[in-house]
Amino acid sequence: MKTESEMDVASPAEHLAGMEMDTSGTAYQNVAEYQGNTAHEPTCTPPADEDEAIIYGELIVLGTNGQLPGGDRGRRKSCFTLRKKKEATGVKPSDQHQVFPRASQSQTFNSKEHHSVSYTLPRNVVVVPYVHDPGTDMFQIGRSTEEPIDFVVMDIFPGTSIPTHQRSQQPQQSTISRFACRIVCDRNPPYTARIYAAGFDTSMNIVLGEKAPKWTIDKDGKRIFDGLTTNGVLIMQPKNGFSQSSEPTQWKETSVCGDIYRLRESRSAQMPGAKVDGDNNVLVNGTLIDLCGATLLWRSSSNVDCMPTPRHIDQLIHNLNLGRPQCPVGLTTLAFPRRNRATRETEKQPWVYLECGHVHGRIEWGNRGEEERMCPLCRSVGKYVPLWIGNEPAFYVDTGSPTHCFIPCGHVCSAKTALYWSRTALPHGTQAYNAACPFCATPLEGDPGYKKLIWQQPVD
Amino acid sequence: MAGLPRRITKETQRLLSEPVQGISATPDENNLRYFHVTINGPKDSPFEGGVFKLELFLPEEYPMAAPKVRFNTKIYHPNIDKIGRICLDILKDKWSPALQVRTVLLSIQALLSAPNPDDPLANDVADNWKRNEAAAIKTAREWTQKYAMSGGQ
Amino acid sequence: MSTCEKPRTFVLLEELDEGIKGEGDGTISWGLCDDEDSSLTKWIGTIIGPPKTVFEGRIYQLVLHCGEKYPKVAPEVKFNTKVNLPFVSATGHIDSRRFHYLLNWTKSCTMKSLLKEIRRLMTERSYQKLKQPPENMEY
Repeated sequence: MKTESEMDVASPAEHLAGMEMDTSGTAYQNVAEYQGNTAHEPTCTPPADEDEAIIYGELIVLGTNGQLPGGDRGRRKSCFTLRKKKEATGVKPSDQHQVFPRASQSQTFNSKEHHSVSYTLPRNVVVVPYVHDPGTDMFQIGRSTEEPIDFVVMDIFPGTSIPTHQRSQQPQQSTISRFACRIVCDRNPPYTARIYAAGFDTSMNIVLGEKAPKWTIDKDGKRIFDGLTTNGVLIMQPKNGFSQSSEPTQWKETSVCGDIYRLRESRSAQMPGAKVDGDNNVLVNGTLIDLCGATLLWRSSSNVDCMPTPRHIDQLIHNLNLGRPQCPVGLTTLAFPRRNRATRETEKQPWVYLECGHVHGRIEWGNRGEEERMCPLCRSVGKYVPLWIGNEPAFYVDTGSPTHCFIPCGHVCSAKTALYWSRTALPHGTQAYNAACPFCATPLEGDPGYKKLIWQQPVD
Repeated sequence: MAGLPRRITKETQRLLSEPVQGISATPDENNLRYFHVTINGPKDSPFEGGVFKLELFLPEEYPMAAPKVRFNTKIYHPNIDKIGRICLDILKDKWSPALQVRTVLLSIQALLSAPNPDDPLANDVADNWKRNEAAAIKTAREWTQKYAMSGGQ
Repeated sequence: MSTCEKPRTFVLLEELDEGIKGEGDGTISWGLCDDEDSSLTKWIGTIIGPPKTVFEGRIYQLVLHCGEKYPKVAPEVKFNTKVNLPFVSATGHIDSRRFHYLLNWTKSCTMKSLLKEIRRLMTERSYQKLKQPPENMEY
C-alpha cells in the first residue's frame, strides 16, 4: 500500500497516464509525444515496475471538468486511476460466519489484521470474516480521508465546475458514506473489476447497523448473509459499453456481496428491491456508480481507444479557433481558451443563445427580463450563456468535433456525447432522476437538453 | 481613427473593397461615422435610371442602436417623406445589431423596388399609390427624372 | 475634431421628432416652417407667456434660422410677435451679445432649451416693469 505522501506526488501523473496508456504497450509513444507538445502538463514517467504499469481502469467524478472545482488535492481529485498493485490487496468472504451477542465479542472484529463484515440483527450480530485473496486488488472509495480510502470523493454540487460559478458559502450535509464502496479487480487478464457496497474502515470492518436492509440467501446450499448500505450504491451499466452506440439502461443497486437488486421504493428504504439474477456487479466500460451525492464514471483501460485524449481536446479547441469564428455583432474573432486555462471569462469568449444555438461574443442587447435575451440573428428569445469546452476526455463517447452544447450550462462537446448524456438519467438528490451535464452536473433543461451550435465564419 | 470601434472600421473596409452593386457608401473625411451614400434606382422600378443621394450616420450606440439614414434627393415614394425620412422597420423597432450598413442599404434599395403603401410615411403619396397606382408610378418616374438624374436636384 | 460628431441633418431631425412629440405642458413648441423644407433651415417656435407675468396670456411666435454650421453655430432667432425685452432689438432679432444662452451656445444646445430659457427669463422680476406692446402686434 502506498503511503499518503506517495499518493500525493503520484496523483497528477496518474490522471495523465490513465488517459494516455492502455495495456497494449503502444501508449508510451503517445505519452512522449504529448509531453513534447505541451510543456505545461505534468511530466509522466511510466512506472518502472511492470505490474504497476497495468491499469485496470479509471473513475471520474461527474460534474468535474478536468479537475475538482476547487482543484485536485492528494487523494481528493476528479479522476482516480486503478493500477495493479505490487502485492495483491484483495479480500473475499470466507465460508463461515460467526454469531455473537455483540460484535465486540468477535475476535475477528477486534483484530486489526482481519477484514470482516458484521450484520447487526435485533438480538445478535453476525460477523463474516473476510480472507486475503491473492488473485485480486482492492480499491476503496468514500468520503473519509482516512488511510483505507484510496479515492476520496466529496459531494459535487451542480455548476461548481463552471469558472464563473458563484460559490455559496453554506456548508451542506454530505450524503456520501465515509466508506462507501469498494472495487475488486482480478490481477490477471482480462482484469475484471467488480463493485461492492461499503468499504472497510480503519479497523478493517464493515458494519451494517440495525437500520440497514439485510437478509440471507442460499447459495450452493450455503446460507449467505448480505445487505445494503443506508443510502446505497447504485450502478448503471450502459448497453454497448461506452461508445457512439451506447445506450443507458435502468439504474440498479449493488449489495455488500456484489449481487444486483432493483431500486428500493426510495433511496434509503429498509426493504431491498427485487434481486436481479441475470445481472452482475462487473464494471463494464461506461458504468456509472452513484454514491448519493457524487456519481462516478468507470472507464476500463482496454477501451480507451475510442476516448479522446487531452491532446485531442487541445486539437479540437485549436481547430475551432483556427476557423476564426466571428461575433456577428462585434465582428471580432472568438476563441476558446486553452484547456484548463479557462479560469474565468475571456474577452474572446464565445457566448450562445440557447434557444437557437447562434454563437456570438458577449454583447449587451435585446434583454427580455432577467434571464432572457433576443438573438440578433434570428430574434428568438431565450437564455444567453458563455460557452465552455468540456475538458474531461473521459466523458466523451467519441472523438467527434465539439459541435453541441448542453442547456443551460453551455458546456461544449461532440454531438454523440451530448446525445448520450441527455438520455442518461442521473440520480439527483435522494429521489429525483435527471439528465445532467457531465462536466458540471447541472440538470439539463428542456428536451433534448442540448443545442447544435451555429458559428458565424469570417466574411473576409 | 482612435476611438472608432473595430466593427465600424471593418464594415467600412468591406464597403469600400467589396461594394454592393448599385450602392456606394463613402465615409466623410472629417467624420468616419458619417457616410455619403448613393443608391441607384432599381431596374423595373419607377426609380430606374435615377441616382439617389442619402446620408447615413452611425450613432454612438451603434451597433446596439440603428444607423440614422435619410434621402437627400427628393423622391416620390409612399415610405419616404418630403424631407427624406424613411419608414423602414429595421431602422426602428426591428433593428438588430447583427444588421450592418450594407444590409441597411440593401433593404432601402429593396424598398425602392417594392413600395409599401400600407405602411406609409408620406400619407398623400400612399393615398395616390393606392387610389391610382399607374398615376403614382408616373409621378415617381417624373420626380426621378427631375431630381435624381444628372443635372437634376 | 471628434469623429463621433452628429451631423447637422440628424441633429435637426431629432429636434423635429421631439418637437412633434411636444413638450409635456405645451408652454413651448417648435417645428419646421415648411414641412417640405428638406434643408431643415427655417423653424418656427412658440412660447406661451408665463402666468403672473406681464407676458401672461400672450402667444409669442419666433423664427429660428439654423444655418449650414448648426449646431456648432447657434441659430439666428427673431421674434415675430412684438415683445419688449432688453435682448430683443427693435426689429425683433435677439441680440446674442445680450442673451447669455446664445452667447454661450455649444453644439449640445437645442432649440427647445433655447425657447425654455427665453420663457424662464420672462418670469424675471426686473422684466415685469417693462411695458409690453399691445397683443398680436408683429414686427
